[in-house]
Amino acid sequence: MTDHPRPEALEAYVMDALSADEAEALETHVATCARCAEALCREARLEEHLHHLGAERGREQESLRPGSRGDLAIAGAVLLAAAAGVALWLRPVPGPVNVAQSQLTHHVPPLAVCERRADLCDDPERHGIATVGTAGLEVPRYEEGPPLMSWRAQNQPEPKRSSE
Amino acid sequence: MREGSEEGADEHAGAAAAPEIDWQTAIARYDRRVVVSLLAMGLGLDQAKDIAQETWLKLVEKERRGELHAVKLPGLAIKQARFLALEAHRGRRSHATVDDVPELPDGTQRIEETVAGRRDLARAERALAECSPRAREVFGLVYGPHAPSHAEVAEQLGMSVQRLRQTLCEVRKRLRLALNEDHD
Repeated sequence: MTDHPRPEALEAYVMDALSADEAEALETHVATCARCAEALCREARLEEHLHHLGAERGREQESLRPGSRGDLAIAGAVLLAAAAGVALWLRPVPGPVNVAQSQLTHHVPPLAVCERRADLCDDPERHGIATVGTAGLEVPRYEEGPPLMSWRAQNQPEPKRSSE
Repeated sequence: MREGSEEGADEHAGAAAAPEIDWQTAIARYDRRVVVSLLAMGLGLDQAKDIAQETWLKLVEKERRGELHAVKLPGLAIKQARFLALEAHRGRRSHATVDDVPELPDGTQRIEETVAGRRDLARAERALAECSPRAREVFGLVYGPHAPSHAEVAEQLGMSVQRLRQTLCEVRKRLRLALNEDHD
């Protein structure tokens, strides 16, 4: 029987750190030496233990790592939701728009700014207050005064009188 | 030995798109790892080597038949080897008396084994925390899920392979002491 291998050699064997010749010599000895076979078994168990520990640590670090896929997805979703909220908050609210008269596609009568009711009724169509009613053009919500009566008299045909 | 602790390092996923597996390289790289996992189960060295060889043969045959859809090494080889070891053990038991055949783990865990395993892990964690940051880094890479070779880790850390192994031996010494506390 050859000399018993040193513990370092058994350790190197399980770590696959021996040369082919050294490993073969060790295997030859271990095949015939129960004590060394037992020592090798212990080293193998420790090696398996360490692999298990390493795998556990790897799993833990993977789950705790801030840049893991799941964390990135959650962070992305939160950022997206925050951006959408800010965009909604800053969204321009439709308000009064200053548009030059020349840019309008159809004529809008100017606002009637008059001191007297008579001025309005002078030319209601020009002032934009004339509407089409059952009796033709008329000025709503205003009592008809003499100027409007005259305007109507000029622009509307005479109502037909029924023959008696 | 606890199941599910193994991590596949090299992955060849998808049968249709799987690249050709270089079995010679895979065997040269992981055969010792498979043998050690069998030794840890309590098998003798000769039997462990035989089963490791049978394991590789089975895997190569399965791969040629297109039955391997995701090859994760060394995890798959270790699982296959353990399965074959248990099969061989059951075969021996059927032809022998109970006293003739030593007990082998059947792959299922008893509660006390689980508790003991967790206690060992906690003890090992404490021992590892006492090591230097460099030693912890070496340990994390060598025994991590990607299972690189010592040469690859040494290159990654910018140190010699010899220095890396010395560091590993120091870590193993601490962990061995920590794990043997309860058993001594």
